[in-house]
Amino acid sequence: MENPFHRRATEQLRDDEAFLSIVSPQPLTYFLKRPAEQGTLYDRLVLFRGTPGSGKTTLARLFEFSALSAVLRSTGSKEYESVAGALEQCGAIRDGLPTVVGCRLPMETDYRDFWEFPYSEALRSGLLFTFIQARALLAWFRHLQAAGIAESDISIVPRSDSASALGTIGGDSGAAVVQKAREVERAVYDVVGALVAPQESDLPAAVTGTYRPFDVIERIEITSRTLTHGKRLQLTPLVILDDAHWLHPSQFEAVRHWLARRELRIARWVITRFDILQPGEALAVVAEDRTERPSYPGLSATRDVESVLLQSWGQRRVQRTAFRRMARDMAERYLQKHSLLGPRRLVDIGSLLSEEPAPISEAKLNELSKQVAATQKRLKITDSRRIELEAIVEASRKGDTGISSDIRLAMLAILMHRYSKRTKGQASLFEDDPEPSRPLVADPGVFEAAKLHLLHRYERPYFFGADDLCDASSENAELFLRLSAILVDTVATQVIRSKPAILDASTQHRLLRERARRIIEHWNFPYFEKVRKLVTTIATKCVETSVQPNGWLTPNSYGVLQSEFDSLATSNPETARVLQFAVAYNAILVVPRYDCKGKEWCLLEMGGPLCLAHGLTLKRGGFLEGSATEIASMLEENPQ
Amino acid sequence: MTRVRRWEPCVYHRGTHADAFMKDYLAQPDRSILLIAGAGFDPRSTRVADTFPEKARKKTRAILIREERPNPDDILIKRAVKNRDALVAAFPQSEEHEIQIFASDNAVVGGRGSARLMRSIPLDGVTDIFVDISALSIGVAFPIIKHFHEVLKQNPQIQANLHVVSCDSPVIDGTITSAPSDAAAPIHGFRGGWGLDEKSKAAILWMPQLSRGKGVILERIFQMLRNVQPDTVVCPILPFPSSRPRRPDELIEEFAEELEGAWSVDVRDLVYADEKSPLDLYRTILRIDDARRRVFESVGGSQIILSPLGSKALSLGALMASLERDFTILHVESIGYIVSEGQTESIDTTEELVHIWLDGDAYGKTDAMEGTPK
Repeated sequence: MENPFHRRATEQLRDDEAFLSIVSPQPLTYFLKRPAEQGTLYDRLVLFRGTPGSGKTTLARLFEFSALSAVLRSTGSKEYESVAGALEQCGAIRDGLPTVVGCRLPMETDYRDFWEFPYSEALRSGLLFTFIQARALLAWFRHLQAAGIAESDISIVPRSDSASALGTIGGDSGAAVVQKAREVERAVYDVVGALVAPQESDLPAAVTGTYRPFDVIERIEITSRTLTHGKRLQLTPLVILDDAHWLHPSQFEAVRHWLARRELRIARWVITRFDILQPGEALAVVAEDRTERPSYPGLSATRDVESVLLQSWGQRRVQRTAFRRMARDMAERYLQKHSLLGPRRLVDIGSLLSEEPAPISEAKLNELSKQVAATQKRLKITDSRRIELEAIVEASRKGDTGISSDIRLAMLAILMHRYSKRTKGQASLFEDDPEPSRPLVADPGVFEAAKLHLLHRYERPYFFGADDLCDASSENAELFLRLSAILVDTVATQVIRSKPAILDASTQHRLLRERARRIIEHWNFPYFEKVRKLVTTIATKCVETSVQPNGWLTPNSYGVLQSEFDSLATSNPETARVLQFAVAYNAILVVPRYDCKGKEWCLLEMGGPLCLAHGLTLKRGGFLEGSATEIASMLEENPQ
Repeated sequence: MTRVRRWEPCVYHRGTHADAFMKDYLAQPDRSILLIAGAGFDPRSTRVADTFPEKARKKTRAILIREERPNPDDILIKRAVKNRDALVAAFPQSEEHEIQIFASDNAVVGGRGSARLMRSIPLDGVTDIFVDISALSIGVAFPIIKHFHEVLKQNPQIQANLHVVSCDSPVIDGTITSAPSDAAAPIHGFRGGWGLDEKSKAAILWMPQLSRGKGVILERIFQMLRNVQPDTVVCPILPFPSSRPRRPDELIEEFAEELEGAWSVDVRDLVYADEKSPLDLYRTILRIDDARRRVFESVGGSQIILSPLGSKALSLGALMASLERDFTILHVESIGYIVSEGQTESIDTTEELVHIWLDGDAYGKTDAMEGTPK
């Protein structure tokens, strides 16, 4: 029985049809519709940022010409209808015809090596640009040919001011352009692949010559019987530099400035990992090596670059709602492909995960009741005050489905402690039931704290329901699939055993926590041990605070002043580096510029698996105040 | 059509035979030795040096390499210093060189650095080059070996022999855990045309050498491969025969999710190679390559990608195959190491020395024959 949720990354799907059948169009519309409508998507450099698994490559792959033509081949198919609609909204398809020819160049290998050459920075950058251009041209032609368009049916439309430069890229005919691009690619590849880089004077002319197709090409013209019905069609070439964070920071800057030039007519996207610390590091590196640094005048980031942040940016509530919608859509597509659940139309993840809370057992309830009575006695709370507090608890959930007895008792205990704190020093010989200094309310914070108290004392299920599943995924598609996989497997087992196709709260809670612990145990990325040490310390502190009797705070974040965080890369590079990888691998989410108590904070929010494993709230905003120095001391082996 | 193989037959020794060969060979008075070895925390750093007779040690020029990685553990530094001191004492004509494995932005630069270092070493008068890979990572060792292999091939006037030696110890391997970096990339000098447009239509075969605890590394390599080449087919290499007969079963169990899931490996695609014989793996890979070339010749060709992760001795088989046929070797460099306390202080009793004579007198002048159809 194949569970498609186990195939986490869409990169693992070989053919375009399989890829398209599971890809959700939601992020496409969410992230790209606006820039497409504003006309900035194919007009200037677009910089995408996101964590691993946030769907960067999936997004890029949709715009590769092979995927685009697969969508068009299946026009009318219900399966691809929504994807085709989204691509139309993004301007990649118009009137049933493609408007762009996209190619994706993964930057993981080869490209960074240019930085290691013993040449001037200008020559190193030149070699990199030449390599990118040759490979982009070859990739465009490869995609077009894969779609059944013959090389002879492809030609280059030059920019009006660059027609004379056509010769430098081989001419305007498809075959000649490909031939030239292959020669250049091979020549540069031989330089990159050489064990020891050749002397600058020994570099072949093909490598150092003037080869700038991006400056020459305006459009790629094609004729295709199947795609364009024999008519000539002009396409905007789109180059997508995927995973550009593998480049050296100086190379990245050079590429950014090179592609941000407004005179370029091709569309260009750069996709990098979301990494808030990298700019600081990059600046430090650039500052170190000032001697050969070319200047890039006349560029303004806002005018020349469109930024798309794929995760944890903008209004957090909106982001979370949008992710829930996207995740549910994605789950439906995956469930349709499930060999057992798909044919039974069990494709709504929400209907598979019960949202009915599971209260604690009678015996535990009795124990809790006794504990609350003992608390009342210890804090010297009168019976009449208790009745008043109970009324406050009742009133807090008016109109709701009601509160179970265990939550009611836990909330009451919290209010008793708050009452006790707010009456401290007020008791006198003549008054045994003083009024609190501030009125008591049973707000959602008390309700949340009560649930967490029950989780930590009685292991009452806390994480269940589709919304919790989405929220625990830290707005990361891959993490969502990894967490969902185990739940879907269990639903399938229940179906096989002729049991209802729905998981109760206890099962969901247990499975999610187990999976989260497993994910953390299997962390294996640079500095993962230090990251684990840091987040475990923070999470433990958060738990200690969450279970405080008066439930004053239910944190899942650690806050440092924004000014301190901004200078972290220079003041404490080691801590910054650990945090960089913690962020890059979703252990921590950085929430910058969070206003609280008149100060600007940067929150280090625990990722979903950590909240699940340690039993922290998934609600946002609660944080422990700290400092960069404390973070550094947490990382020390034997903190004093 | 089977092509002539460069190392068929091959001069190869293992265990007591390797020790005996080293002692006899190095004792010859006309030998002028250049030794390249790692001076790291690995207790095997000094193992090969022990086989050098006293007289040979005195006239051997030893290039001792220290692989520098960010934030090493204090215990590892102490052990490395101890090993380095022992090697310096053993070889009066020794030079110590540091190689930074990672650049400031975490890019892997060790391979390029080691090749650059080797280029600066003159070979005048050298009769034998010994590369001891026991305490070198393959990201550093392979470019070094390839450098000398190419130098000897391109400069027939240099009359030197190239030997590779390694102390094979599965027990020590098991006590050292590496923390992988987050980048999978070809080892420097072993790109093998990977990513080139002319190879874009080639049928890709990835042959990872399965090894315990390397799941994350293999997943990283696979993800990168699929990212670039969605049509990659996977044929994992299992060590069989193995010193532990159940090892292949254990590996299949450990990698069950990958084999059945993302990699979609058919049971007929499993490749077995003798754990103790690099030559067996070398021959197996070449045999597969011969068969695939025939089949895929007219439809874009075949490309084999190797990922040697298991024992160093076995990885030599992948190295030899790659040197001969220009295969791509994909690798994830280690950003650091963790050693089990007390385990790596001493030499393991099951360790064995492996020696392969790669180039030189043993083979006559056969370079011209490479790649000629039989």
